[in-house]
Amino acid sequence: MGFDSVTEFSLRDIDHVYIDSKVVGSSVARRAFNLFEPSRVSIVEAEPFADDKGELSALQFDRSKKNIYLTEFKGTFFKRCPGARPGLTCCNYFVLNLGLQCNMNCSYCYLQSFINTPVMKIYTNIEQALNELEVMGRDLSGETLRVGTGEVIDSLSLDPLSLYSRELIRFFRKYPKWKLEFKTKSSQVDQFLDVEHAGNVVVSFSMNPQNVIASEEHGTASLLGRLEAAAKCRDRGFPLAFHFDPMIWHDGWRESYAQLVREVTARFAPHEVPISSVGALRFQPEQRHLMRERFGLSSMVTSAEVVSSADGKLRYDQSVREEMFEFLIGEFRKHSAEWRIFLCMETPETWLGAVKAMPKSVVGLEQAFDGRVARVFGARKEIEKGI
Amino acid sequence: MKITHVAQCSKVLDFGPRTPWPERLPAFGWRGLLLTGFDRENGHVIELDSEELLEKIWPDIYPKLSLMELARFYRCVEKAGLALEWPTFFFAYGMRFSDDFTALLQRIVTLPADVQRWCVQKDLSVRDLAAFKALADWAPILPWWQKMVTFEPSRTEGVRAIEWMVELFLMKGDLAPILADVTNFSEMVKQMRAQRFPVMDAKDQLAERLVKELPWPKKLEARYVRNGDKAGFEVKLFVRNTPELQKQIEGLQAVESELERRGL
Ligand code: SF4
Repeated sequence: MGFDSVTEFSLRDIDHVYIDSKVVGSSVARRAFNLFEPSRVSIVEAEPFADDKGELSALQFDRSKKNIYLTEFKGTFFKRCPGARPGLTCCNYFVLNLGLQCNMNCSYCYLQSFINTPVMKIYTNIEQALNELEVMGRDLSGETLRVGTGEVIDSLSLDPLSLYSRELIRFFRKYPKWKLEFKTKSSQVDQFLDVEHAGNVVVSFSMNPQNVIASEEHGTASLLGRLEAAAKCRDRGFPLAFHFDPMIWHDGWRESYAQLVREVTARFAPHEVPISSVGALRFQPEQRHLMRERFGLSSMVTSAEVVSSADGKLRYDQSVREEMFEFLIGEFRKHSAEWRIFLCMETPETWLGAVKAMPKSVVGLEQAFDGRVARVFGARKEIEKGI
Repeated sequence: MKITHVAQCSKVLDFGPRTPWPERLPAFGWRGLLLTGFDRENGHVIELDSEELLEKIWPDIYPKLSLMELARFYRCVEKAGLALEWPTFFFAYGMRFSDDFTALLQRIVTLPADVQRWCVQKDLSVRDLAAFKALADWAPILPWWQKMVTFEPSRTEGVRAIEWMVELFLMKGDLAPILADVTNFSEMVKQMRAQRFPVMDAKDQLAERLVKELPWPKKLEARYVRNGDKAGFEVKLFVRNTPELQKQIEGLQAVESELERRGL
């Protein structure tokens, strides 16, 4: 199946699984032997396509999404959240990367700006990650630590192979004050729904209108697929988060996003989605060439009117972003004032423009799971609930 | 060390270097091939050890070459039928030899001479030409690239313009309606920007008109400024004392009222 497919990619779309000979005994490797026919699995002594290291060509990048390499991660798993930059407060947020690269194929994906490994990786030594967490737990078990997966690999799209969700949910039962977040554009949730949890595992779905998904988020779950998966999680008591991010401007964007809000609000009450955020298209300028080469200029993203912003990323004009955020938030408010939507990775000016408040003053923001949005400001004024 | 004569050497490796080999320096040769001083008709040539590898010798002689010069050298070597360890060679110039890179080298040596000259002059890098990766055929861009180089843009300006040309071609398929009548570089850029960023451009034009129409107090300079994703009015005032400041602030109220009247 090619990348132009509008159906969700699954393990069937993987061309080949390479297993590092040192990890053949791992649980993921054993599962790979069961799930893939023998002709699609090889045991290797060295990383495949190793000669292709460095900046990947479009073809190499595409290929890297279709080939999995199971190997150990060498290094420390836990990293501070990438939002922890000057000006951005970053609560106790840690990023856990149990792999690298994604089997789905969004035109704007930021992995295009830095991935230079020619194969998608799943790290088999999850025990090491859990051990690191245990060590952290000795000092921080009473703290509100937050762990996010899904920064450089979707949290769930390959989970039917790794089943890491199950191990992580079980582990987090021991630390009810901690929170774990799965971030996904897939609908792969069935594999963990039966696992008992402590109510501290947030399943967060990135949401976009179906026409944007079809045009820009290739191989991801349809909007309906994501909503249905979210409903299953809700029904099993998992807290949900919806990220309306990246909002993508296109002719008729208002109607598309209004329809999206209708789809969401028809299925979910505000209290069932305690955290929602909104963000607009943004990407590193370096990735634009690869994007253009891979998706042409007929895409809403590659043809977007984006220009350099203060942090160097390419974004829509600030007034366009404000207009989009204001519109989406307004649509939610039409449904209920209880919806609480935060702006993701935005500048203070945009917060002021779109929600008429500085981030630090927004009620509930600090409780929001992904604390990347919290910015340090002096003003601490309560604004009306449900921005 | 063996000394030969220019006349005895082949000039098959003449890659058209940007600067001629310094007159005071002797020419070098290797296995009967002239490596430097291609413009010389006579004179002595120091023949380098034929056991040495050309991919090692070349970066020693020419530690800094532009991408275009390297591409021309690559073509000369291929024509001469020599086998070089290209990854090693290009590594010495900080470049990674790959299929994409080879394709780029082969493409750029076929560019028209004036474009090649501009590329060499501005020392264009692989990254500067990355926009072309999205094009199967560069031909539709070439007339406009040639037109652009006649305006002698700087490297940064030129690279951005090339990128817009590629994007506009991919979006619209024909650059003639956009660029046929332009007579200078700033007009060229303006036309392309208006086509590539139509919404933003229309908004900017509107704001530029608006800033001129607003009733700014006398002695106050106002202009519309865009800084990347942010745009707004930049207001400059000069006051010597509080009454003057007060007057300017009062004057600004008229601007505020006018903006309100227009619903802005
Ligand atoms: S789902 Fe996320 S990681 Fe995967 S391609 Fe899309 S943006 Fe990238």
